[in-house]
Amino acid sequence: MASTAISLESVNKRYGSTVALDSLNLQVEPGEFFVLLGPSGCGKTTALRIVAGLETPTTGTVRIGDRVVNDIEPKDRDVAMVFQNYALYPHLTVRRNIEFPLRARRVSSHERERRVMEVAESLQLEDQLNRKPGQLSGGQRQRVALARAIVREPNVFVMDEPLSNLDARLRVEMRAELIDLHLKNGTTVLYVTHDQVEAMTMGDRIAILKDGVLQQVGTPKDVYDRPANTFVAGFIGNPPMNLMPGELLGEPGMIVGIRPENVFLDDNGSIETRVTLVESLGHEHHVACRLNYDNETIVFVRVPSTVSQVPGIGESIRLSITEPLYHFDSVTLERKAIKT
Amino acid sequence: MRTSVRTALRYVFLIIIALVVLFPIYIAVVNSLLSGQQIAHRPPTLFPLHPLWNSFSLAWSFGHLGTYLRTSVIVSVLTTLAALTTSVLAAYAFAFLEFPLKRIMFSLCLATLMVPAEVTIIPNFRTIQILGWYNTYPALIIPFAASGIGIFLLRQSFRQLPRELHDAAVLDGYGHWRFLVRVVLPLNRAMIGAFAIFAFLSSWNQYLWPLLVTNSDSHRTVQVGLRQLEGLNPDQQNIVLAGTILAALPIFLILFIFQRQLVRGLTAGAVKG
Repeated sequence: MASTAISLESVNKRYGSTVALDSLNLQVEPGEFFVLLGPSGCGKTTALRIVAGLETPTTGTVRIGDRVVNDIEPKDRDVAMVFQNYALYPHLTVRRNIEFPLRARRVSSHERERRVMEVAESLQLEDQLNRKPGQLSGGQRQRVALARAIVREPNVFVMDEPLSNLDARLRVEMRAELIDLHLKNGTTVLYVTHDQVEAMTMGDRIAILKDGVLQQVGTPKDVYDRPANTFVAGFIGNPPMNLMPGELLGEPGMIVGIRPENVFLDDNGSIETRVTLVESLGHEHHVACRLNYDNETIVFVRVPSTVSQVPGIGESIRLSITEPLYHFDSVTLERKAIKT
Repeated sequence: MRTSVRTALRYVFLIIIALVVLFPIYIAVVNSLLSGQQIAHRPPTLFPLHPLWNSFSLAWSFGHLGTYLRTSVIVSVLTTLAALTTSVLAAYAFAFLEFPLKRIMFSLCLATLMVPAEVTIIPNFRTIQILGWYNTYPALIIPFAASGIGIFLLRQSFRQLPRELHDAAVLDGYGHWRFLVRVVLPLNRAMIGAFAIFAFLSSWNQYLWPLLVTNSDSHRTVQVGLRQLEGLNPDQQNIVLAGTILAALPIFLILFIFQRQLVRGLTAGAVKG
């Protein structure tokens, strides 16, 4: 077995003068659920399409298993892709959609039928086989798209924001289904999303990209507890980490980071602020406050719903903080050390 | 109440327009069933009490319409098939492939739409002469085997397919040809059908070109062949009109059968935006 399932080595992608990927290095282990996370336009979909073979890198090497696949046709890479908008063929029934890749590979009709039924059963699509995609709900369509990918029994799945078109509740359901599916068949998954909750809940490891540059790779706990720089610190976590100018052991030129759950409403606290926004989510409240001494910095506080007195907008409140504090260099924006 | 009045007015207006369009056709049908003297009679007869049905059989035999109609069907069907084939392939290339000078070549295709047909008649005629195609089917078909409007319409229609469908097919192992046949063509049925009807009608109604490049009855289309009937006496106008109606009948049939397809195809782009 290959030591890595997918490997990108110094991969660059340019469109004219625009740099979509800048010297990207990534190694995905076999059987891993690997998430590429970042804001729109960060290059995550480009990286995915390069792995699938739908784009060619400007420079760099792409391996799937032991093979360098730069010059290998997409169909011969043994990669199945799931698209954000499902990419189902609207004129074909669910059955024909699922068996579409098998027909291309000239699989016998008997074998086709067996595999379609097997996949349809595992995704609860048996009753929908003779319907057209237009007659299905969003969740069912995404299941058909998954079925079409799974039926190929590929080495690698690549998924491009497959849950973004679903409503919030369905998304949570499908998230669980995808994890379950991955646990069952153990195939390597490269998954692109801009939703940090998806990344944190589904990924074995997460790679965070910004402007085509890899910021950090690590387990969800790693990137949350030990963010490599202010971008990762601000991108992971909701509300985002509070970042403000500060100092470390007397050394100025630092940015200090504090997670909102480490900031508390405290009548005896040393930080004086004024409330600018309160968002109530039911199980907790997110309170945004402006520092009195520095009118520009907003501090987010996570207030559990068990706290009876939630401050109102415009109210002056005092805050206290607990560790951990994060320290970032104000020039390189990289994390210096953790003081715990 | 106000909207119902407005709707009524709209219908009255549409009925008047419809009458203006249909009246000449109606008069042609009526006159084809009257004798020459009845046609000349004033005030004109608007309803034939004793229709002369034999004018149609006379027109058919006297005008050799059978031969001409057969030629017209052969020419129009082959022209339509040729134009469809070239337009589908070119539109696919413009919609899905990347190649050098793509934009310039597409602009050239569009530019052919701006050139009036009369401008190309003489060079085309010279080409036909040089190729030795005078009085042959290729002379009637080949000059219309590629269509700028066809390429344009189908390319616009193909481009509305989501890019992901192409990506998915590529990953599933479908080459261009199978993607075209299995996905693009079925999903663009309406536009392809509309263009096919359009190409057939244009070919069927050609007059000047077939007149120029043929001189034998065996290769003349029905529109040209109708001139045979001009040799009849002035009091046999009913037979001329019967011949005209017979020549137009296939067109009416096609429009009647495919009108929904035609309207859907031509408005598809507008609705999908």
